Amino acid sequence: MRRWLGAFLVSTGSIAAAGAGVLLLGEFYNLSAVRQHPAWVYGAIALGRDAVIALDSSGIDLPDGFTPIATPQNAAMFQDNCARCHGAPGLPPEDFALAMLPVPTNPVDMAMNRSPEQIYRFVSEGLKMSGMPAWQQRMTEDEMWDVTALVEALPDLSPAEYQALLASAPQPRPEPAAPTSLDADPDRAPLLMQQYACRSCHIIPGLVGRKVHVGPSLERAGSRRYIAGVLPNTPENMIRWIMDPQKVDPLSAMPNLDVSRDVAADMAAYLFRLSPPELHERDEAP
Amino acid sequence: MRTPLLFSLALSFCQPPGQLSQDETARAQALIRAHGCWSCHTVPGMAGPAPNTGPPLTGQAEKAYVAGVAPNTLDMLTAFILDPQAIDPRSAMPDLGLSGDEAQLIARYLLAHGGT
Repeated sequence: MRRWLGAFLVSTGSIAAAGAGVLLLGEFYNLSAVRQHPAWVYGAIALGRDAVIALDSSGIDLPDGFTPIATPQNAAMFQDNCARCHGAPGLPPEDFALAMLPVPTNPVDMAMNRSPEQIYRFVSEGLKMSGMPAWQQRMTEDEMWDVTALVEALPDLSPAEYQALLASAPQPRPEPAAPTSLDADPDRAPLLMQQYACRSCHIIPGLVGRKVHVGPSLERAGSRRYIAGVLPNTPENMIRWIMDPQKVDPLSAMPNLDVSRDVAADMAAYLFRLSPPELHERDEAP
Repeated sequence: MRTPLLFSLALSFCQPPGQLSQDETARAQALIRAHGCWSCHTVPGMAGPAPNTGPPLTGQAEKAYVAGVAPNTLDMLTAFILDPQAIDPRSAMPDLGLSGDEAQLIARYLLAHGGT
């Protein structure tokens, strides 16, 4: 019995000491973006990240006929959406991105060190805590592959050639499109609500986050009589509200997030599943 | 319009909004009952059904906005209870014909009650 107790104390003690050592020596107590990780911590994180990315992207298949290619269209798409943080040959990122930590990867370096599958994986899914967002709700799959093809073509392009492509891009410059779907599916909504940052203002069952009270909790939004206190709550009105809040109430603090009809329909379906509008049906029955 | 606002402003200087005497709490709850607030809203500190016509008034002090359109301060909440359409012309909340001090008492009651 005493031997067991001793072994228990020694093992928990060593684990605690190792944890404290990693916290202190690894400088994990320092959350400032003006202080880099120590080199060994950076190396360990990069090793773990690359292993996970290799595993993640092993399930991705290149589309038929994929080839690295730079065109005026995909160069403009890259410049307007990606180069703001990553920069491009001969062109700087925007000012705010220079002091990001980790610093966004240079696209030529990406192409030299990563497979197209891995680049597509980063574009589509993003990377947690790195500042890289997921683009899968901002671009179609085809557009994400177009951007991947551009990145893979960059090492063979001079800065002058890249900029000449931009100069010949169609005007107005092509805008990425949100992917479309056919039927409203509440099961997609938690991911979509996260991808549209709904959780930064609303408490939403099914999503993790702060106890935030900037907008109302959406726990009972489906069964509330009025949307935003102004519009009778029906599935159609909920979609209208999510797509363009100021059209419903010009004074509303809820911003227009450029949500497509498909996405709004998924979100509304989720809210009505969370809190079915029983009361309304009873009210409206003859 | 101006007098009740000035009156409630003057009142807000006299008393800290967080504290309600027992008597004030009883008066606020009587007003909430008499004006039917709890037929549309879940009201903290008062047992009853949990209607969902308007938003629950629980945790009012933690909320960023009044009616989703104006900063949540004692004065703004008072003004909204007094004349909802003055704050948001499209609001479904009815004008209950309260006096300035009644509206402010209800606002103070709501801001003083954190939880359920």
